[in-house]
Amino acid sequence: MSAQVGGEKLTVPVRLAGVTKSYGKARGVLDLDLEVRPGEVFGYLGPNGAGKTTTIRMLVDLIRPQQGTVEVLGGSPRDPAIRRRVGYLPGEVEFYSRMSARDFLTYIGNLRGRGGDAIAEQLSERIDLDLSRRIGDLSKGNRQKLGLVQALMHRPELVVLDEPTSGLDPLVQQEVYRLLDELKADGVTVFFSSHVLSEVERVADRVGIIREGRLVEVEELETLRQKAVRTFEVVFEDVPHIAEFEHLDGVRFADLHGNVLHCQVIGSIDELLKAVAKHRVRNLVSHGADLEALFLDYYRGEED
Amino acid sequence: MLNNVALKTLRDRRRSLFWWVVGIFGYLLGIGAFYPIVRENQEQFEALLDTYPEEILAIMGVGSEENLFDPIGFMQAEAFGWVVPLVFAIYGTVQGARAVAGEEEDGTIDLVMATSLTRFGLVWQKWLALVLAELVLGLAVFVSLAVDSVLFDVEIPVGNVAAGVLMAVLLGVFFGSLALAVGTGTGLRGLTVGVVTFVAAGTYLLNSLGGLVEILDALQPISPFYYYDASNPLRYGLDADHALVLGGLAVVFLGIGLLAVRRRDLGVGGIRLSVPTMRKAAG
Repeated sequence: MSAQVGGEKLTVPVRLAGVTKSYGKARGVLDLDLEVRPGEVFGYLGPNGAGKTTTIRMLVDLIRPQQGTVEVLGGSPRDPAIRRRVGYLPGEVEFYSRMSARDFLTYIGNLRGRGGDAIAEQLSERIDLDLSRRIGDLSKGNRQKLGLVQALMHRPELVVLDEPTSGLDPLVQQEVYRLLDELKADGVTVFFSSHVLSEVERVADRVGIIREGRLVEVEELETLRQKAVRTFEVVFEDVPHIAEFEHLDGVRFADLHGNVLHCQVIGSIDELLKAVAKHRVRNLVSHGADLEALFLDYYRGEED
Repeated sequence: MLNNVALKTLRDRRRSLFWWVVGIFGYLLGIGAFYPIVRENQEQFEALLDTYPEEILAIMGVGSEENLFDPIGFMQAEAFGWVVPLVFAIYGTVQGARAVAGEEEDGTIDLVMATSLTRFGLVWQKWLALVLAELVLGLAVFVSLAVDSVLFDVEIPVGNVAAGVLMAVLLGVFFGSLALAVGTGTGLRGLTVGVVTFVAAGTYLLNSLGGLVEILDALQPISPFYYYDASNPLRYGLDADHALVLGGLAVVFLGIGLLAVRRRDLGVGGIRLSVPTMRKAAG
């Protein structure tokens, strides 16, 4: 399947149509439709057990749907030639602990028949991963780095990462974000899952929200951000009136205690700022776009 | 050694295989060293053996009409009747169960199968590694018997030794392939080892006692151990039909494994047992 973009034929990197997969208790996905665009970073967001890993393992043919079709890079993930063009990092990545990191990469490279040793060495050096060490002796962070190197060493067109930063210390997390940024700059399509909103915000172009096996929403991050709630705390020199802020566009909650205003804004903060600026302001604290609150809204909505 | 799954698997097994080789080599050497003593004290040993019930001797692979005091009868009774086939069968079972189910339980299957390796390729290369490992064990047995013949005069025609070793290898490959099929079908290593060990132990007893208990006699041919040594390859050389039965069934099991893996979800454990939880009564 392809789409015409600017006269150039681009393959849809990931397309799920009516995919249902269930096994065990409360694990799986239900009637999932999803399309990832070429070159985008797609954040697949949901709490643990929502079906993220199930979806991702179908993309590399480890498990197979009971209904519907899974299409990757214009073909079936069952096709080895397709999988060769995909990079995959499992959620809880396991290696042969007795092998050296370098031997492992050589092995995986040989199985792919696509080498990548040079890139692997380069990349490892850059992210400070010692390939001569036994994998069993590597820290969790270094093992995750090794997982990333094996997923990227063959210059894949699509990279699928299952919770790539989970359990990592902040420094390594930043490293992962940097790698994702670079992939994006190189035009590589990235599909990654996360249950951490701030990280999706940091790197994704579009976000799909999954809950209990169903895709609740797919949206541009910008759109989502516009729906997101920001919290402000403003301390004035004088004492304004609550009515000045209550009914402004985007303000969904406002509370004034003496000279301190607490309010929540959805979308544009323009009107609020202009209203605030009519007074002398001592301090202003913003709690940023709180996707978390938005996220909770989705869940609350489902429970009703 | 990192070129493909078969070589990589052998590489992973090299340490444990080394110790299996040391074990069987040492055992056969020790048994060989014992032979001159047995031969010199034949009368005392005969008297001792007369006190053993026939059933015990049967379980140890000693047929009633066997001459235990020539090199062939001695090796049959002390090694090829029980230790050798059990070692090959156990090694095969463990390796067969680890082949695919082991990688699934360890979680290493994810990265391996996300490459362009096919499921077909995975299973048959694992099988190949199993066959090669069993051949290495067979070579160890062959060499140790050669050493025995030089050092301790345990002289057995070389063709017959080769036949005995080949049957042991085929028996090991038989159980290994069975374990590979069960493991590939279920994804559960522990269950696989349990089931195949049960089959091995059961068919071993069936074959050993078959000669004594009339009702079991007719059932002997369902035991792989029957094909392993009913023809007494150490004494009479290779029985091609029996070799073909073991080898052919091993290939059938490989085929079952190849079919089983095609439709499976990998790394999720094929069988789930849900245990009902006890709930405390309210109030």
